[in-house]
Amino acid sequence: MMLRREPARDDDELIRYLLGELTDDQAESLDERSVVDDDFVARLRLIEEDLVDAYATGRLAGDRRTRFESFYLSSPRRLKRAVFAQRFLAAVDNAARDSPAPAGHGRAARWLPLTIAAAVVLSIGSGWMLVRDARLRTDLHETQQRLADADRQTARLFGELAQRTATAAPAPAQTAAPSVALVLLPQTRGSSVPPILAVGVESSTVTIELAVAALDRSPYQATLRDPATNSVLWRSDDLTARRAEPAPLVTVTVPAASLKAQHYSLELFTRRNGRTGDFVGGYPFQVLRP
Amino acid sequence: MRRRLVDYFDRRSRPAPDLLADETFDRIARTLEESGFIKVTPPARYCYVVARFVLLEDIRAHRRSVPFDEARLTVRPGMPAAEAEDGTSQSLDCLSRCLDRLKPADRSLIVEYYRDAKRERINRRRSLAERLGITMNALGIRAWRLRASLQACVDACRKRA
Repeated sequence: MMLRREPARDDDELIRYLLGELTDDQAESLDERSVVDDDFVARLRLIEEDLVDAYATGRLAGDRRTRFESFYLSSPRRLKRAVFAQRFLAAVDNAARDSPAPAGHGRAARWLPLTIAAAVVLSIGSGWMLVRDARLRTDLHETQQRLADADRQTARLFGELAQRTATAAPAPAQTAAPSVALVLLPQTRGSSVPPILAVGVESSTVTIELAVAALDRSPYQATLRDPATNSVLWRSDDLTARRAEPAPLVTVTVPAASLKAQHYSLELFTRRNGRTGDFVGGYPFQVLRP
Repeated sequence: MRRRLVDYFDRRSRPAPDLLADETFDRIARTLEESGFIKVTPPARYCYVVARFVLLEDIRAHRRSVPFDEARLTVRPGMPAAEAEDGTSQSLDCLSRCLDRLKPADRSLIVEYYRDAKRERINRRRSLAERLGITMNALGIRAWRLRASLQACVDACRKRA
């Protein structure tokens, strides 16, 4: 494939395109090329990859970072790409430490097999296993550290993102509506992928709104379930649905302390005479914490 | 082509880019059934033209249906991409397995190309391209393809698990 690398000025235009900063007219001509022009598609992918990697490694700053978070990460597909980038780069760095020198390094590469063989012979009977075991333990520990660092970085970024989203969200209309972190729809057969809830360290409660089919089944009770153990972790008091478009909503305020970084399911039931009534729906979600 | 269309709809912030790409293909298939050929050349341009109609219709339909408090939806359910955030340790485990499954030369290339993203990346990539006797762009494309295949491998691994 022929691929011309155009000047950096054009790279900047592509970055602005990826960040949704171009006018409709400007974007449209690039839209067409992004479907029709092989060279352009390849170049766009490389620019996008660099952009995502820059964000994942904390090299994206200022307005561009803000725009990346407000626009680029607003799409679940692109969010997925960014999360993958972070884990991928951490894994690659980790693998790089254990990789031998790349092939084609002249004499060093030719002598490498002999050196290894000599090392193996010399090590026999000299406590090699003990040394190796110690080294493996160290490597394992370092690997775990790196992966944990990558996870912490992921969680931190999601926390920051949640905080920015909350700051940027429009002010609630007149009434003191709770600050809603997430609106959930009932799980359907086709929707196996849970939405994400980023919980900041300072949050004491998290407000989630559950969409229901009808207003007239109140009161409800929500239970928080750990799908891994199937245990109920928390139950709400009686809840009432309120009118909203396009569907009524039930507001659930969950203590943040109940939520760790894992999958959960909120299950909504009707209440009849102080007892649990019909199952209304399950609302799976995933929690990320900094 | 499907991937290009999905990316196109996604960049235009449509909530279901995969469905729109499928709808585009359905319409193209209907045209092919009816007329037996596509007049526009290259055919990819015809795909774009159809996709653009699909996009505009989706935007109009979305306006009519009143978004469900969209601004507050952090990630909407039922969207394939939200799976990004599935179990971290499982994901890392899959990633490590998928990396190990690559051919040694590919693994070496991807590690060398992407390692230590913060420093000396350009020089390292340049010398890697020289060693392989290819241009930087060709190297970039090769690395991108490997990375995309790794991401697909991780997705498949997590689905199996």
